[in-house]
Amino acid sequence: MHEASLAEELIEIINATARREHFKHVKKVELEIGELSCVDPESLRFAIEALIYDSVLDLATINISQIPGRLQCLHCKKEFEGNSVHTACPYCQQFGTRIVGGDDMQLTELEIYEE
Amino acid sequence: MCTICGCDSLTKHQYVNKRSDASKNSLHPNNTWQPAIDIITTQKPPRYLASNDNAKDTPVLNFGDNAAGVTVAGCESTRLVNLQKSLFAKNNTFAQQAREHLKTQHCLGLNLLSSPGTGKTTLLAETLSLLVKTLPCSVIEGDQQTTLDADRLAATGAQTLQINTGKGCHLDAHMMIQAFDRIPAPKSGVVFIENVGNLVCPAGFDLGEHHKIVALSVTEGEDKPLKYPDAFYHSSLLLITKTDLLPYVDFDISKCRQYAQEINPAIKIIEVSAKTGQGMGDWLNWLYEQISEMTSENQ
Repeated sequence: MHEASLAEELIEIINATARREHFKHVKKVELEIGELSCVDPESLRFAIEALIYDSVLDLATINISQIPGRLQCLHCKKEFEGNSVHTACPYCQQFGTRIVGGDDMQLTELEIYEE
Repeated sequence: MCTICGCDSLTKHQYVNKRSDASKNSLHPNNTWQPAIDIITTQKPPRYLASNDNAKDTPVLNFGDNAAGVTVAGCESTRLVNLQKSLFAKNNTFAQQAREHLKTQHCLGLNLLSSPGTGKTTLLAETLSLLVKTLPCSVIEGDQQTTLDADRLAATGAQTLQINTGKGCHLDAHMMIQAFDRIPAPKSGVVFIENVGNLVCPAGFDLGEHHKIVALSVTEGEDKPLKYPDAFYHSSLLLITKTDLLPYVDFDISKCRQYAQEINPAIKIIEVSAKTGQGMGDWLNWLYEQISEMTSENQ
């Protein structure tokens, strides 16, 4: 359940932002999770919800959008989308890929209540 | 909330495509594809305070630049903060520090992943007993609890440090930095990082190591690479352990090799038995190759 440590990291970033931007409550959190990031969106939501009581996130809705994994075939070098590194290339049907995108997890935006 | 119709929508009801905005961001240079699920678009929220966009430069207090063109006290007022922050960024910063520490020490860092019970510790104990006299070695041992493994490995003469993660399921780079504070990576040697027994979480965390090594025993299924592809994708070497038990189990070694290579064609595969010593020479040769490769890269 490494989503728990990522949820802690998320709350730490938001708390630091709250101190910098002077807000006490967040209305909405926008997260983007790459399909190849080894992060499960529902586990992450569960972990965040377990941690937000009595924090700046106590009123927040958490929006999670998944970013498709982007793979490059090691044989024909063409790029395609896939949610697993074990995906056969749709062009040459061979296995063996390199991740070129969709392996990160980002906090993209916060909507905050102004004081 | 929109102050015209009460919908949860935008200023003047103009939808902005969030992705097209994000793709202009320098942090997303390659993100030209669309999200799988389209998400709620951005909105300029109503305000009940005067807009202070130019407050310091103009002698105007503007209460009319929200969606309805009018301000009502008590109405909800929100604004957007654009962040684009990676949740892996902090770990990656610490991983970079760990990498630099290994570089200054001329020390090879190996991060061992496997399920619990694959025989990582037995293999390490065997490896250390062959290496310690000729090569400075240390072990950072990750487990949820106990110092059993570290005690066992310390008996070989190598310097060991136990990291207990408590409820944590993996080692992270911040733990590495603290571990190196306690026992620095041995000069011109090898540090073995035995990760928490788990094929899922440790695969996602860079510890600053030179190589991840994944171990899989013949008492597990040969389909493990397909079930946990990330660990195999991120590893340079697959150690198939407990090969002395092959006559007693239905483990298809060629299938296992095929699956691992489908996920990672560059992965090197070595079959070992810490008990009989079979394959230990190949494993040590691989290790010395990595040391010489690292040395030539550092020069």
